[in-house]
Amino acid sequence: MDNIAKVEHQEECKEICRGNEDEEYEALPIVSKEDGSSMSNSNVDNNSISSGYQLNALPDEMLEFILTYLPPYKDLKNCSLVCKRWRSIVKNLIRRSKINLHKGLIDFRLRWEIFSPQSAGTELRSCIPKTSMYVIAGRFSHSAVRYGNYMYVFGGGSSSDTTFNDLWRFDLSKMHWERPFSMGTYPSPKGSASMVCWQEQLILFGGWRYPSLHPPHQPWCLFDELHYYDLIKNRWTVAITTHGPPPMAGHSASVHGNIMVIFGGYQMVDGVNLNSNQVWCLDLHKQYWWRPRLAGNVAPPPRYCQIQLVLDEHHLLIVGGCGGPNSVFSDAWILDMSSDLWLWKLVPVRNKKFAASHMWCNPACKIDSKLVVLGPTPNMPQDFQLMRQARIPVGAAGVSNNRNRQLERERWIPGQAGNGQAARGYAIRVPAHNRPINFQLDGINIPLDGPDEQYFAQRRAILNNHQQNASNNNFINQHNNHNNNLQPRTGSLRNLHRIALQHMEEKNHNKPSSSGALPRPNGVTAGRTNSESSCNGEEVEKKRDDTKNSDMEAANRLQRNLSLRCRENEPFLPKRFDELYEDPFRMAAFNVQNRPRSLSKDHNERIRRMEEKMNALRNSRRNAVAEQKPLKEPSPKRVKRNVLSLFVCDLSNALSEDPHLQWVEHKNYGILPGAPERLILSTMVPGNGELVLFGGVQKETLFEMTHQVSNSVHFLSAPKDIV
Amino acid sequence: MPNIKLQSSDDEIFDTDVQIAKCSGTIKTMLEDCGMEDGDNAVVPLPNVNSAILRKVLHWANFHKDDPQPTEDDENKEKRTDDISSWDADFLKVDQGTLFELILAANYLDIKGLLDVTCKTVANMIKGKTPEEIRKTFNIKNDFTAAEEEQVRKENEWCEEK
Repeated sequence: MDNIAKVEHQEECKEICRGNEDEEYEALPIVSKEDGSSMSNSNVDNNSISSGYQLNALPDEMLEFILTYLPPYKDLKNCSLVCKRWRSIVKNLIRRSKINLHKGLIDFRLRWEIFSPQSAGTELRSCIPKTSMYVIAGRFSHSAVRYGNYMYVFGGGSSSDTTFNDLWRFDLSKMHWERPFSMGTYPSPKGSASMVCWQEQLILFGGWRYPSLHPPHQPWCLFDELHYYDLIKNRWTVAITTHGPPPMAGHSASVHGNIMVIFGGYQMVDGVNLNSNQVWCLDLHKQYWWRPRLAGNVAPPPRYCQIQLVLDEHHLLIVGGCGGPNSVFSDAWILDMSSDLWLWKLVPVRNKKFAASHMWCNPACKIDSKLVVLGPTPNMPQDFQLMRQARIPVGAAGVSNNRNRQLERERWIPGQAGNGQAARGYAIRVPAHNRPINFQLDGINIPLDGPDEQYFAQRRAILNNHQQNASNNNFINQHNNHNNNLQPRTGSLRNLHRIALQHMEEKNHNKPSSSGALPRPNGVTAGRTNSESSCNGEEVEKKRDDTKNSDMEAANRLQRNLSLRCRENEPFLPKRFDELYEDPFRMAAFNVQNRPRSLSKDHNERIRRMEEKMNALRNSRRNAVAEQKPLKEPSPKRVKRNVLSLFVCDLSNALSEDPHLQWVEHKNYGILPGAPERLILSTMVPGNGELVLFGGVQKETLFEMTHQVSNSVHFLSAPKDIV
Repeated sequence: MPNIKLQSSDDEIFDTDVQIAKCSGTIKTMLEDCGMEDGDNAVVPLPNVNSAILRKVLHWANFHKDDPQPTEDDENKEKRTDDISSWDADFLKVDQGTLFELILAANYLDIKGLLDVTCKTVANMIKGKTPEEIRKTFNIKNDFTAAEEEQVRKENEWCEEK
């Protein structure tokens, strides 16, 4: 009774208040009060204080700050519909968010956040429909498109040599995965297909598929299937077309008006596999293909896995791509579609030293007038002389590696073995001993002095020796070696190098100058003697775990030292960096994970070496324990790995009087806080004031039986400013 | 342990440990600037915070006094808003008015942790609701005409000025 009377009274007061309203927002009596006492007297009093505070009484900046905690999708839209004041606040928020992202891309002041379904909040809210409890499987080479509040993901390769044909969508508001209930004619399982969005439909074309394992010796194949997915009706339809393009994968597509333009790709024409630089157009309404007439004889060299962007309705931009082994492109071409004859134009690219490398297996997307590409971290200046020595693949592994690569390549280009077939399939004899398929990417075999090849060779050398030594019970443990207080490194890291270097010397491939260039730091040389002498009496097998742990800690510390050092604005660093750096094992007991580091100004050289050793250690460790690792994304607390760097290219002058693209100078080599580990063949789509990265595979694990794939979603956005 | 006296807007004095009071950036700056670090007689006036709210703020600060400072390291930050601790969630089970006043106090006193958790709480109250539900929760009047509302629905601020 009491409550009803109170409610009625409040209703009356609301009526009165509305009549007196001049301002945009009102201070109504509170709805709930803990002690239930009547607030009748202060109902019409706009100055009611104490518990009468209203959300709308907060200043605009506070309200805007609160709203930044909301996912900037559906929730923000709902907020803008609440009242006029909220709408203007949301407008400000959006404008500020766009500016912050824009500035963040130029200043490299952004941060990554991760969402992994496994570690997402486990609270079971009853409002979540059952479908959202599904967890999407990790994948690479999938297709992704953003539409409204969702990111749609289709297909891709799995962790174990199968291909998906499932369609998922990630609700960016609610931060969970859903599996739309799809009807109609499902596409075949495929990866590296192109998917674009047009008029509330998704258009999927092309792709490749792993052979199915059963029955055995099935062909892998390229597709020329064209499917439409109606996002409203949740229905797949296959489009039957004639005179369409040959089966292809790794092509790129974009929508201009009512036309989808595709370019390039890895194709199968008349039983032969080749890279293409063809342009095909699809009239999306009438579903027929046609080829445009091109003016001039200049066209981009054939390629696949390039980036294709819409500049405007009549212009598209092609960047990067792969043309085969040792042929990764970093050029840019514009296709001018404004007249009857279409024209390719090569666009000069400036600031190439800040460009991304490997713009074919790494994700990219366009946001406003910027092209954002991810990729491996560029080499620091002052290249490691050590790394340079590893030009030739080391050891037996190197030799057979080449042979494997040859075999793999043959499988990837099965044309030679093919006989006249339908466009869809090949009868390929897959040699039994090559199963399961280790999918080899052409571009892996990049120029030998590229950073990856160095890592590879170095890592292989170290790994081989690791394994060799481990089996010989010869693993040196420097854990308790206190004699090295003055050396920059102690313990097994140095030892790793010593072993690797010895190995390389044995192989005798290196230039004569290499031996002189062996570990530069004097400390390391001296330490070698130490370790050699002390290795004799050590019983190491039972301490191997300790070594591993201390390695992890050491590597972890190195990583922290390194990244902190490279970051420019680190305020909390102690003055004496050296005391932590010199003997990390001494500090091991203190578990200095979060200890701040110092900002000495003259350690650039040491950083490079640290970086190199750390990476070598990390890579070798990763390989050594590859089998035991779970397939899902590691939890956030684990040791840091190689990360993806960010590269930004300014496209604002692409269509100007003096057309050019310009790479933005990166800071800290494009490494941003929280960067995801290095994966290739993932996708990145633009979100609202953020970029959304999903999926991918660890490149090194492509050679293994089970690939490390990721199903985490990473968000790149500007850090929140405090009001 | 030195104490400090904080005076609320309604002239109530709160005797607090200096370390706890220093979780507030504002108080910390005040003390350092005025050199009142050791003064046991120091009274810091806080005209923008009333006693009820100040009491709650100190209660929160006392519980969280041993929290590690958030480090800006490279660890993967998780993107979620449901990571409010259960103590904080209980602490914030108050009526809306108190909640908003806590937000204002946390902002004025520059207590990042409290501001973060209170704003997250309010954001969680907004999340997932339709506009009408939001209005009802926070007692806001809808001042759109039907035509205006339709227009707002259609517009997409994120894609404008392409």
